[in-house]
Amino acid sequence: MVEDNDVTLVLLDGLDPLPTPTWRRSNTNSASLELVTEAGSLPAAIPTVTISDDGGVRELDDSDVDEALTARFEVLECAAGPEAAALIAASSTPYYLEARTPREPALARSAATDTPSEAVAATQAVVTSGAGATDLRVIVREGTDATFIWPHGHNTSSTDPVLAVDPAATASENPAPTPSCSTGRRMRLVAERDAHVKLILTNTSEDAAPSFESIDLLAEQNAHIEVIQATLGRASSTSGLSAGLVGDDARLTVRSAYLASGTQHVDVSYVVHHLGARTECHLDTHGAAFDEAEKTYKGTIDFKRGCVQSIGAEREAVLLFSDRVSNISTPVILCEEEDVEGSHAAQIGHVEEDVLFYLQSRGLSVLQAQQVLVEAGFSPILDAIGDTDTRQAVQSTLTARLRQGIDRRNHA
Amino acid sequence: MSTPVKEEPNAAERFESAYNESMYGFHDESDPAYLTDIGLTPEVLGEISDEKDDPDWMRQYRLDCLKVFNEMTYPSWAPSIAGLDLQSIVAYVRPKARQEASWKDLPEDIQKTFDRLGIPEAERTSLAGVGAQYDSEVVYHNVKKEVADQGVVYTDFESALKGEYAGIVREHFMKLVPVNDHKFAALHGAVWSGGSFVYVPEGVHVDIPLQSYFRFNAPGAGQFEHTMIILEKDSYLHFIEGCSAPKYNVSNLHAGCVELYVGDGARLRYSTIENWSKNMYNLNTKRAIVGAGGTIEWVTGSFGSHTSSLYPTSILKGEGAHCEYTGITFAGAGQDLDTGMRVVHAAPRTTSNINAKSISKAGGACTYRSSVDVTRDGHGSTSSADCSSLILDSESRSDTIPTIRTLVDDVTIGHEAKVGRISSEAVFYLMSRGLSEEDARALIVTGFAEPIAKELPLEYAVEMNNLISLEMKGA
Repeated sequence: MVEDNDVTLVLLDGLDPLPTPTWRRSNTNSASLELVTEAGSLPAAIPTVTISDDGGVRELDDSDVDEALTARFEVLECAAGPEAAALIAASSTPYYLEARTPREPALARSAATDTPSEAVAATQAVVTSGAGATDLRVIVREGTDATFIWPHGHNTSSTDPVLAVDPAATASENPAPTPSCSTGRRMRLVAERDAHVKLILTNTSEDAAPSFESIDLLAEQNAHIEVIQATLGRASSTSGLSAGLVGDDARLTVRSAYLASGTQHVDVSYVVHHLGARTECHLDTHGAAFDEAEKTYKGTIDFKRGCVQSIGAEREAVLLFSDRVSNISTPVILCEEEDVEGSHAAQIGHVEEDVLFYLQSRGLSVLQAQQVLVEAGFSPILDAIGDTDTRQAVQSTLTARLRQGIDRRNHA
Repeated sequence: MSTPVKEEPNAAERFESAYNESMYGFHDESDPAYLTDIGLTPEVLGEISDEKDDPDWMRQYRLDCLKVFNEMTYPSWAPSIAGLDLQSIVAYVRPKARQEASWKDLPEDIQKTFDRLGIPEAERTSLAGVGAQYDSEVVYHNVKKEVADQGVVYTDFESALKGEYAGIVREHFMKLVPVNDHKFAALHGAVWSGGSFVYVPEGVHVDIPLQSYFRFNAPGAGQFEHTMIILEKDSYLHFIEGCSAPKYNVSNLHAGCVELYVGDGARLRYSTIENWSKNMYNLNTKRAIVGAGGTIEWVTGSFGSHTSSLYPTSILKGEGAHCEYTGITFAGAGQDLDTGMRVVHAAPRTTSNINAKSISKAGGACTYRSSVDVTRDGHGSTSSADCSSLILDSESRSDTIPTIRTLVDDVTIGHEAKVGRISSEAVFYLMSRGLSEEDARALIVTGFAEPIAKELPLEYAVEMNNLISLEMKGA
């Protein structure tokens, strides 16, 4: 530990562990972060929740939370690893949300007149939490349609963030905000039978304090969980997601994007365990890396015995913009069931000269051409973010950081 | 009184029965001329050095390696070797045969062994030279005159260590695979015996392959051959390695080492059909370093062993160097085969192509493990990998664990993998054409392995297909 006034740096090891480790020299078995803490620990960051008008989401208090409910969350594996789980547990108290909305509009009746009401909009909740540790537990009840948005950080106050930074300067010359405390957040979500959950997880923080997150999911029979994730913060971060598709016909879709620049370490890890029959997962990740960043992507599809007729597909595509960047990609398939289809693909590369030339011949500048090509990979993620405010925040951060990073590359 | 019902043999029993009746499963009565005590001690190493009349530097090197071996631990990610008791292994077994240049001069039982394996016939019909090792020593070594006249050297490793090539051997010995690379590299350095040395001068193309064949006979023993091949600039060689052993109820250990030096513009094809018996722990290490414009081609079929940990590694050190890897692994009942490859792009515009296949059945476990590394010198490099895995039943498992690491941006790297089962529609179609289900599945698997088979000389492709048929019996 390094102490500087009240700020203590604590090394957190074993983050985002690979379920089946490999050569140590590959530097991919797990990650570590040096957290900025207050006297060695993280303060509890109590979330505030903005809930949609339909009342489909409610916060559960102590009287609502019994042992049975607690037990349903305790079985979820912590994607970020046991040390992270212990830190969160020691630093915060669990915060519970429940989503319960009937899917069929006809079932929604006005309480006063007992007549069918209008089709109910999807239930939505926006969770806001500051620096520190957050332990969020969400249960989405049977047949419920719900969206949860959990942003971390916010865009710069300027409407055009590019103007705030000299694009010709290196990342290390740009003044970084004084680091506040690190953020460690964990979401455990259980999607009951026939539930449809959309999770929008964004990191657009300008803060210099490293952060980690663990998204731990469980999908029961015919539940569908859709995750849209944008990892665009400026500080080093690890982001782990672990999903158990325990019920037959359960599905998980992950569309994610990340940027790594400056001297950031960015670690993105997905582990999907197929247990039920006819379960499906689709993981699609796009990224870009600049400067001296170090980026690690790990995606594991794990077919357990008995998950017959299940499908798992994973894809990562990353564009590199620096000859000092470090990129690690580890797409893994573990399989002990015969009757499955598993596939993965990884593409690592750069913007091809001939493609750039073509776009320049159509009137675009080098910077514009590169930006168009990179943003094309990110657009499916942006399109999937339904919430306007969130999409705009992600879009502006993405555009600004891409432009800065590409500019630095071109001036290098 | 009811009639007892005879239990049907399980997959492992069916395979064992078929293997024992095959050309591989026989064994000779083990009657060596000399064998060391069990275990790994300085005294055992001293005995080996005495038997081989090692030069002083090698005597000391063995002892240094033993020290490193004792200090290192076995990696936790690697397949389990819990069933291997290293202190019960006999490190050195000298057969009752000197090295001969004519098969007729060998003792009758050893001659018959290699006859049954087809080695003399292969030499007559399609090889430029053969080295045959029986337990810990090379018993036969020969190279055709017209190949030797080109300046090609193909000799057993002990002769190379002490003869006119001693300087070259010492300069290169365990430099590609250093003693502290991993625990079994250190073990190899301590107890190595046998193997081959090949030298191909500049510009020489050896149009017909050379082959080394390794035959285990003694139960509870280890085989630790060292193969070193040096190809000078613009030369070409195809080297084939074969191995087999009878099955015993005690463990055997294979921890050989292969070091390949491929000069600028040279091309080396290194083919292996590995068919160790299923009591074997195969912890072999193979590594190549390739100069500018040079090419290393690995063609690998892994069918045997109880446990394998095998990752041929290519270091592309010169600009424009190339690596081609084509491999298939077949894990049956009781097998845990962890295979794959590593390539390091350490120079500009280097390229690699990887085509790896695996099949698991009857409870077997296949792991494909790979690493593609592009260093800061690897500007403009490209790599593509395609891995396919077939699982034939729900007792088996297949894992794919690739890692791609790049330290520069102007690269193009692609990797894809698939895992699944034999298509039931394809089986139905073949059965509708008159094949039994067993034959239909065997045919599909043979087709799956075809990209590897077509890279091998015909005799070896036939051998590989025979091994697949053997494995598929009762599948």
